[in-house]
Amino acid sequence: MHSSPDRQPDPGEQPLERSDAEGIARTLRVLADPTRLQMLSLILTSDSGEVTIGELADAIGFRQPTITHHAGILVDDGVVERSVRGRQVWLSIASDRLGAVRDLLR
Amino acid sequence: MRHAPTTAAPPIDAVGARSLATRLAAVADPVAVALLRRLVIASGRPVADADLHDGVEASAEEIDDRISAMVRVGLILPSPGLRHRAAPDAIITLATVLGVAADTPAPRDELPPALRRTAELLTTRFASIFSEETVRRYVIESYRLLAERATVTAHLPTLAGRFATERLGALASAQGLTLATTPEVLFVCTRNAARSQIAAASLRHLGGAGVHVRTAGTTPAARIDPLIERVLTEAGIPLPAEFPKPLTDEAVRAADFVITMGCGDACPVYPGRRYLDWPVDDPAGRTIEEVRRVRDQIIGRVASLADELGIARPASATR
Repeated sequence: MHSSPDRQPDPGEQPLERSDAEGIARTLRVLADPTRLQMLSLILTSDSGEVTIGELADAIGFRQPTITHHAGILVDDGVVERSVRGRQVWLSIASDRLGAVRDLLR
Repeated sequence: MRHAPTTAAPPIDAVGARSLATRLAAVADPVAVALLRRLVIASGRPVADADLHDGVEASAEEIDDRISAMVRVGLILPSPGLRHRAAPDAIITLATVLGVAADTPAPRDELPPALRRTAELLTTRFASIFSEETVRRYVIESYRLLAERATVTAHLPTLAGRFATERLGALASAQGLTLATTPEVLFVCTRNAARSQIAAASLRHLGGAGVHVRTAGTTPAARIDPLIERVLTEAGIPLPAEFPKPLTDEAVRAADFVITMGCGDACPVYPGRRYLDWPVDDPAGRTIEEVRRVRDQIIGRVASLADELGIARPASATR
């Protein structure tokens, strides 16, 4: 094991639990897709921080069912939140993932 | 790439998204996550491969395989002596996802007051390029980097602020986010206390606003040698508010010219930069006559470099 007891504890240097590493890897697999990255970027750079499925489909040039499929994957991992208002589905970045997504797309 | 400072960045295009997806795929696995996290925590300092093997539960083949995959996409960089380090881009873009940096910025009260002020100033200054979290992370990290080596801690927050400013500036130019119309020159020596300081002061004096000069040391001293200040003043060269600081990856990436003096091997090599090694003796512990000789030698080389860079040399351009 690699640990030096004489060093000052640093919160960032806590060893990573296997389950945490798996969780992060799962999120990275969700993010490692060009369409989903474009969707996140469009949501992030929108004025209100919210974009409809239709707007995303138009901007990326895919059909709505394709975008809906990718949105489902992002929502399942908790990166994106979905809200239905009227006949529109709006997507926004989950507030606890905003920093991570913003840094990623820097 | 030109980046208008007042408008928000446009959304990523299909090509950019594909390339980012490829990079992320290389780390989308628990072993790769554990490895990259270790390197990001080391914030750009090289970690021995043996330590990476010790600290991550996986077979040696698996670890080597993940390291190679991340090297291929530029997330980590090989370092001399069987070591690897995180690329600056990886530190900036992935620290939060990897759980190294808090997703929500730490409350302002957690920083010492002097550092808090520094972070606020830099956040404003880099508002068009970096998020508040990134700036704060750099300020804290720079403070830690300097604190590890410091013998005198009185001015650390101020020095950390300057160091963080330089690193963020270098990172921005390395990523093409600022308009780099002026050449960037980096002088590196071992202690960053004498040779690199003489060279930087002379080039700033000659080039004024026409050149951007940075310095670093591979094993930085506690302070600039007092004799250096004296021999520069004799030559009519003002010594700017400088301090010895460690060599960072961003500084090298940002530089068009990297000039090493007595430390060529320790300097990371990137394509597209011009590397020059000046064989100049370290004046540490020498007599004033010898220090003057070193000074004149360096001033001569700097003058040729300024000519080569085509830098205008009006005396009024100096600060």
